[in-house]
Amino acid sequence: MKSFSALALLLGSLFSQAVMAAENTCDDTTDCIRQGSWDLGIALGYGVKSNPLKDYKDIPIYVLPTVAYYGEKWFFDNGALGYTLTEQERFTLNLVTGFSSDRAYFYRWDPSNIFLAGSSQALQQAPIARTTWELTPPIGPLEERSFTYLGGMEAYIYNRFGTWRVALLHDLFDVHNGMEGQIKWNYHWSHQELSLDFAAFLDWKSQEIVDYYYGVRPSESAYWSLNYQAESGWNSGVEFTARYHMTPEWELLMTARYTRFADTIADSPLLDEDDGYAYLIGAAYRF
Amino acid sequence: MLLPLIALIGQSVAKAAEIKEEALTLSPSLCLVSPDSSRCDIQVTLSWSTPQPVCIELELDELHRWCITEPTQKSLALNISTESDVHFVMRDPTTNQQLAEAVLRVKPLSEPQTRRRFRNPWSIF
Repeated sequence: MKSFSALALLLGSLFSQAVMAAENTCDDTTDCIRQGSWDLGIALGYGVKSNPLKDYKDIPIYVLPTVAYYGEKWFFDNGALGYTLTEQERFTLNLVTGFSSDRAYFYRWDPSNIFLAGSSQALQQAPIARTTWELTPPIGPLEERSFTYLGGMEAYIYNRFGTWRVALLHDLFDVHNGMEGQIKWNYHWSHQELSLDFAAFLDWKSQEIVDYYYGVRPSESAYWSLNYQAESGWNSGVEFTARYHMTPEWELLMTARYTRFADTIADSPLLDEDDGYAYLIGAAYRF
Repeated sequence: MLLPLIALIGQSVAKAAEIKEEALTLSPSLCLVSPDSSRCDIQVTLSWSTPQPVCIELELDELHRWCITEPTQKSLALNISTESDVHFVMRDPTTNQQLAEAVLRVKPLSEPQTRRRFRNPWSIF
């Protein structure tokens, strides 16, 4: 709860300054997009998104599309719909919505996975290993984890050390009534045809979110539903993206992400990994 | 009843042909200005083919007027500095009747507007 209060305080103090009109503040320290036109692209290559769920397969990535549209205030960017309340040289404040990333581990066609095109059978549950029955009681077929959308506010702070993003999001569809807080630092560097992005992030997930996705229901395992108690926790991780622009349309691409799950998530009996990764190496075409 | 109408139409057609014949040509007729400097500084050339002497007028802060008496002179070069469209009018110096007109359009050269992109385009969820 302290974490939530700190995020709310930070966003609130920024909002109180949000009175000036937006201005064109795009420079070479951030990625830029042409206002009022669609940015469509597709990356082809090979990659993997690991799946920490026990007996669930990793997700291969062969295609990675990108779809974005930025108007004067509204924007749509790979599934995130937002409205810019103010954009200044030093900071931006947005109302924003986005998918929850946790459900994507359970369903191949979760909207979060639309932007990862791999095998349609990627998440098919394999038979539960029986060799560990005596040590860990088995878990039956999982109940449905419903789709939901998160909505809230995000703030970007720009300085010479990079871009900071602070976001506070809440479940919009009353599925789990949980909250998520996100803090991310990103450093964008470009020289001639090469551009690099380094990022480190912390994602706070409320007890409701952790319990909804990683908690065990009585129908799944009576034993684990009593013996695993979900709590709120922080995921942490790093990202790296390298792009080399060969022509205005074609670029070579390498992107990777590593996530270390919060202890409370890693302790879930549904998981057999305490971290996750994803990467893609290929070529991208911008239309 | 129809005769006056036909006569009026006939007069209009004849007048249009006369104006076309005495057309005033402006080159260039468009001035593109950059967003950081909205002022247009340009040299334009006005050309005409009418045989009689003419006067050229333009309204730029105040009214300017050049009267060309040399029958062989059929053009006039002018340096213009303006932030808005400029109207040139060619008149008959004896009757002051308007013979033709031309307009220099001033348009801002709009650069594609860009803004920060908030998401990594190739982010893996």
